[in-house]
Amino acid sequence: MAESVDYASLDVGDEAPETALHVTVEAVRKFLKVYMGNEGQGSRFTDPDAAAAEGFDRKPVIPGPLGFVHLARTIVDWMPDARIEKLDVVYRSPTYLNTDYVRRAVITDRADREGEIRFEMDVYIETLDGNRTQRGAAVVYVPRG
Amino acid sequence: MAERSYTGAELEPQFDRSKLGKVLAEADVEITDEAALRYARTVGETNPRFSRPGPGLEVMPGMLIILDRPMDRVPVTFPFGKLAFPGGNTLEAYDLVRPGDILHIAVRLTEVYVKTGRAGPMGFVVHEKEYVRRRDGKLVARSKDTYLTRP
Repeated sequence: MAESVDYASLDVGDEAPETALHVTVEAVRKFLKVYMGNEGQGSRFTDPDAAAAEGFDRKPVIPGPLGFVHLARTIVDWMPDARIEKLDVVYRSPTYLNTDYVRRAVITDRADREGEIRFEMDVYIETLDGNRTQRGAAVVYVPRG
Repeated sequence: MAERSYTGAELEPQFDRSKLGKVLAEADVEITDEAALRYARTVGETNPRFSRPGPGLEVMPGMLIILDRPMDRVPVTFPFGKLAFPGGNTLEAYDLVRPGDILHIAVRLTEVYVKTGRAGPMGFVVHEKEYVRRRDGKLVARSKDTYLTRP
């Protein structure tokens, strides 16, 4: 998480520092326990055979909403004071467990208002070779000055 | 390999159309300190806004989309469908949610449709939830989840 950010200096095209994402089966189990009330035993999220049966090449996949959470975290890691007004995430292709990804964000619009700045940004989960598995568009507000 | 073509009947979603747009289920959910902190711990959040106990504690934005009560969904079948998977989530937040808030959550089936492209047909099922804070009757958030079906 960024310690302090000069929001007024940020503008269209600025990118968040790239951060790594590597989700383990233990992390997915903990998330599912909160989300579904169980740890996803025998599901495509934890079990290679179940993943294969659903067309995922014997690789368990991250639950979509967990990807959503990581994209929201990408925003507040970069802008710790951000209030996210909207986050619209498309799950474009599977995001797999035990695989290295990066989280990215880039500002696409800025509007200065009384006491705050409104940013629009795109956020992504990407493979190391640049394939975007989850893509989001966000509207966030940060305090001005 | 030649692409398979689909007839009109094969593209027609099967579901109870009387449920479209209606509230399927509703429930009150209290956001407790414990739930907010547990959620933050679970996803590794360290920002003190979301992880430090006390009066300033906020609920992480992503937490609302997994407040899956009510869980009711309208079953929708696409005759061409073999694979079904989540296609996306949208959250619009109109106010901060804090521990102690009681949210009235209502879920509706809002859209069912088919798009056909080069890769064949794809079925979309969209449910939306509204979150109204009991204390002041304010709509604090709205979320949408889209489920996809493919041949």
